[in-house]
Amino acid sequence: MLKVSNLHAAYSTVPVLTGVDCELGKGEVLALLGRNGVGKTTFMKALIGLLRPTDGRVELDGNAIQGLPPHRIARLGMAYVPQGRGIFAKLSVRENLLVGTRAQRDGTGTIPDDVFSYFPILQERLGQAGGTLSGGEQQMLAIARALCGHPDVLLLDEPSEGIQPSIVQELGRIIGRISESSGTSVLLVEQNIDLALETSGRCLVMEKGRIVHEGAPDDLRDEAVLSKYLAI
Amino acid sequence: METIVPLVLNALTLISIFMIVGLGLAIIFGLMNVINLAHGEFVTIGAFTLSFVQAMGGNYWMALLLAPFVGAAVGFALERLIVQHLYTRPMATILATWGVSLMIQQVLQIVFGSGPQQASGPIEGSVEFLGTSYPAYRLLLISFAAAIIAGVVFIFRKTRFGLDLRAVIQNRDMAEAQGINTRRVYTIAFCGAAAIAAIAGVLIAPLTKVIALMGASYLAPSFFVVIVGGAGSIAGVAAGSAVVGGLETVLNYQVPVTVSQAVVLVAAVVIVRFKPRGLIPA
Repeated sequence: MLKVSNLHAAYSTVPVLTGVDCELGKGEVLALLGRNGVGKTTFMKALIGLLRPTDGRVELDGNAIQGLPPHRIARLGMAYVPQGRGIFAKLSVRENLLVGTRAQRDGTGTIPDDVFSYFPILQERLGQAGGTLSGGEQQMLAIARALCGHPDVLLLDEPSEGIQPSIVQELGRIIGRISESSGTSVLLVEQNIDLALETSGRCLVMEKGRIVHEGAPDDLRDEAVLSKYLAI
Repeated sequence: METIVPLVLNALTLISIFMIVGLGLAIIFGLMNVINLAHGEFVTIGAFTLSFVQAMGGNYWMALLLAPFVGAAVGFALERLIVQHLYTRPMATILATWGVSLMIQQVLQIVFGSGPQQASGPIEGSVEFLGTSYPAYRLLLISFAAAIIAGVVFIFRKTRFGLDLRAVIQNRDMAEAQGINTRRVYTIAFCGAAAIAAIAGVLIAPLTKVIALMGASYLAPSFFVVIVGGAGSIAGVAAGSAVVGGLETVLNYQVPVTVSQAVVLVAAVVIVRFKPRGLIPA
């Protein structure tokens, strides 16, 4: 579904990504782990197009998308939930979701019903301003908004950040349901190792702007491996 | 009663003018962080459209219909040729739009001369209104301004484009990542702002001296309005216009014009000191 080869990206002249290679299959949940500052968020920004890659290739469902503006990449089926959620605080929940429908390829502009089956609480909050929701609800809104475009690939950057533990577990279950029932592929960046290992089917570890380890979640439960790559 | 009604109507006239000129400025400033020093020239272009149409034998209403298209066309050229390439460089935008403003002024002077142009309203004389006699055209101006504001509020709140625009104002990157072509939103908003300013020019022209340099006298108070009220929100423009226009009109009855303008400026500074993002920020 998503194939990344030799991806390079930089902030002005400081190189951050130094040749990332990875593949994400249809319906797969892939966790991307790594210490702070190794380039995980930069990688996501480069995928959605908010940061223009300096070299390399990104294929989404067979189409080369590197260098396209983000709205074109979004309309080709990639959705992005940034760190800090990025919801529109002054728009209502309904309006946030409607903005999410702009990426739909059929262009009907209607909010799909299944987002309310994943996040029933949003149905009750439709008229409320996004900024008045709790942190957990805002995260649900951000994921629901991303799903409104019927994406093939969902990029989730630290969905557990700043959210109470009980809701983190619920988010983990919902991410699993989303990939199973709609065949959406998920790339999950997480500092919360437990959430990442429980939710994903495969894990990548990034270090200094490239992928240095790939394995099943169970490999990474091994303390030695964890401490080698993540210094925990 | 005899003094209150004309006072309120005079204030409403000035508030209406500030609102429709400030509206476009607020959208461009709040949306794109562009300080468009050529905004006053869109008002001038609207006023000259009225003069030109009337000189060619046309009437006021034809000019009112034509002006937004002329304004939008010039706005489109300005946005596509210059402003679009400078969104990441605010200082450069200020200089570039100032340069364009000078160019438009000089071209208008070369083509039409530096003397005042003829422009007249569609109705003359006064009407009885709430017990006083008041110029009919000013009442027309107030109602048109109210209609324009209502139209813009409708577009902002109820249309697909309005939702895109509000999303882009709040967070351009996230709006883009949701599939909104933000560059297109910018262009349309810029043209819309120019069109509204041109309509404002037609509305103002019969009340003032139509000369190539007239834009500047609307640019400065409109910036007050936007900064006092808060950039990027229609409610902010309304609040800013009410404060600046209302205060200026009331003071004009008591003190000389220069003093009243100074007092308004001081009031603006005080308000911004305590509400740095304006009375009603976006």
